Amino acid sequence: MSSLLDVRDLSVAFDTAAGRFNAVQSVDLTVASGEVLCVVGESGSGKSVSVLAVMGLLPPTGRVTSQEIRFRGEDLRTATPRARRRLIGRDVAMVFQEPTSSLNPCYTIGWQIGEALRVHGATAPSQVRRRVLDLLGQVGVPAPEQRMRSFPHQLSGGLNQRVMIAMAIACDPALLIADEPTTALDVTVQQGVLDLLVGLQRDRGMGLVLITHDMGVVAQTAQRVQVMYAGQVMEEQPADPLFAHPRHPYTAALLDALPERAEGKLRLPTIPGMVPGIDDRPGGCLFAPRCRFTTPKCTADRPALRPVNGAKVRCHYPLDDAGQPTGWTLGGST
Amino acid sequence: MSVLAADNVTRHYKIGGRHVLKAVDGVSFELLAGRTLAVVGESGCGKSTLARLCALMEPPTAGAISIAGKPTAANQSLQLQNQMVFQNPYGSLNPRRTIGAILVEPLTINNRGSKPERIAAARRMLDRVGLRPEAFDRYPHMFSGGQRQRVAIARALMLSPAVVTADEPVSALDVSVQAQVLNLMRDLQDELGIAYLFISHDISVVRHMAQDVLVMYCGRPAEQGLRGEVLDRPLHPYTRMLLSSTPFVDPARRRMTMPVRGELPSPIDPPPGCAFNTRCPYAADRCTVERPALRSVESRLVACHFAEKIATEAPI
Ligand SMILES: Nc1ncnc2c1ncn2[C@@H]1O[C@H](COP(=O)(O)OP(=O)(O)O)[C@@H](O)[C@H]1O
Ligand SMILES: Nc1ncnc2c1ncn2[C@@H]1O[C@H](COP(=O)(O)OP(=O)(O)O)[C@@H](O)[C@H]1O
Ligand code: SF4
Ligand SMILES: [Mg+2]
Ligand SMILES: [Mg+2]
Repeated sequence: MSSLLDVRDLSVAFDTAAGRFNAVQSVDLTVASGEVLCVVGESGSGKSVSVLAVMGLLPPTGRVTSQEIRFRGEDLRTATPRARRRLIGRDVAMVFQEPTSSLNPCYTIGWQIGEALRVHGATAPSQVRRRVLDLLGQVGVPAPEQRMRSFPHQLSGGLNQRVMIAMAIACDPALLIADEPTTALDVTVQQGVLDLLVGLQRDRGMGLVLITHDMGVVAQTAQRVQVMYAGQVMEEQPADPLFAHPRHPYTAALLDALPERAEGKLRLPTIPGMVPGIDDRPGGCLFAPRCRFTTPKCTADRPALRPVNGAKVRCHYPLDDAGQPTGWTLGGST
Repeated sequence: MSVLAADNVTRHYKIGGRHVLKAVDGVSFELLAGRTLAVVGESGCGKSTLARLCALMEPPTAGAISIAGKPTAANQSLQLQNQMVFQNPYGSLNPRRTIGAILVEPLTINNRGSKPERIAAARRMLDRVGLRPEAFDRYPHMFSGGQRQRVAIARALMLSPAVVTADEPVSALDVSVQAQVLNLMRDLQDELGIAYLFISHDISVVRHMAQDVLVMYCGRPAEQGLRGEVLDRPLHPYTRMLLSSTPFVDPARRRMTMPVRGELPSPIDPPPGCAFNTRCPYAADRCTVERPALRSVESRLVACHFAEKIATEAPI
């Protein structure tokens, strides 16, 4: 697998009325061809902002810094957002949560997919038409001949999302970034869209970054998983071991809070408190105010993301296979 | 005791003069005190409409609803016995009123107690749902989604209803906050004996919260009964499809592998016979002409011609 995207130490700060807000802090993001990376986290954890920063799609109020942003080895950091979009526009495509707000209500979906092809150089009308039909078929839109003449409002949310995916893969991207692509859809439709994304990724050897807040979606699709919290990556692991042995107390607590894992329990295990906001981000570990293992060390020092048992974990006391914090003592030495 | 009962409840909407949209079409159930009945199904299957009918926010076009054992047709005051909590914790609270005013309001409107008593009751309720006393004088925008949902629950409980109808109460919340709100609803139920009509599209949440489950498809009941029957041994192909498409974290739960076919039919023109026949792998000629009656098979109610046959298949 050759590396497609290499992002190191990405931070994004917004200047707001209430002061500077670090929406993303020191995030690494790497994806290889043929790989499915899931980025999972609760709302506001910085999932969307980090990929928008890479794509150069943030508003100017977002200040982006990084050690490295490479696409296929080429450094994008010095490029202006505009130049960056031109550099990677053909090779990286994005799919968003709300298909109906990303599609233009005034044009047929056939025209809109055709436009995606024309932007990338296809010109002959007959060739465009053939490609549009072919793409609609590939994304599983039934009766493409008829559907290409439909307007977005005439199609269901699931079909519109398939149209968005058709537009995204129109120029044969090497990397597809899908930001909550199924969050607005019913589970019955979600399944089909996820199968489609993973199928396209496999058949075309694309890299796929799937952003979601849903651990079930992660379990069904991911090879590798990054868990984000309050703007930082807390843990990174291949999917199976992540669910069997979460190493970060936050991941473990999040999985425990799933109703699915509470079989026979009357109450769900909860995480006390709330995600810190702009004015109450703690200085040490961002999860310290809510963690059951917090020690003075946690409150004082922000842990680095470091390798543990095939995972990367941002915690002073990564969990062992029994879910116990290693090196932990009540007073918080080591 | 039945605190909420629906008898063949139906709500048809006239669309553009010519069409009739059968949002809810012949739903019956009985919800007992202290229990939770969950209504599940894809969006557009009629869950919210059923909730509004049960909370007497609009009248059914046919059928009857009873609250606390009494028919509601001529007695709108029974509405007080069934209070609603909505999905969107942002839209459902008046942004211009303090939390205290929001909680006191139902008591004032219904002439309960003196002013100091109302305020005291609101403060007690605030504490009961886990919010700090300072919240009383603050405005909704100063709270997170989870906290606002606590306020919405507190408001629903101010009149001590027998039933709370909750329409997707945790769907807009993150997992960790969802767990807090579900626990709160559970605790309040144990303490106050309230019953919940719990609307949700999330099978895992339903399994955790409800003893009774009603699965709806195109406005009609597909399968209903005890959670252990309906969700653990589903007999309707649609229930099976819903379970198969739920993205469970635990691979052992992903044992049901019924393929998902097609999409929801148009609500103004559902397929004749069994409305599910366009997506059902069991569908036969009979399914396209004859609507399956809701009948008792293996300790639950199910509306499928082939429920007995499906029951004899290998348990899923
Ligand atoms: N343009 C912006 N200006 C200020 N803050 C922003 C802006 N965009 C996002 N944020 C903040 O950055 C944080 C991360 O947002 P986002 O990446 O969208 O989260 P999510 O993980 O839900 O995708 C949030 O707290 C959000 O409010
Ligand atoms: N006031 C109304 N007028 C016309 N159609 C309605 C009205 N309310 C709901 N519907 C329709 O009734 C069907 C059921 O809607 P709803 O009860 O909101 O479903 P759910 O909550 O399961 O998503 C949908 O097709 C919806 O468009
Ligand atoms: S009645 Fe027929 S179409 Fe309907 S669910 Fe049963 S088998 Fe399927
Ligand atoms: Mg986002
Ligand atoms: Mg609804």
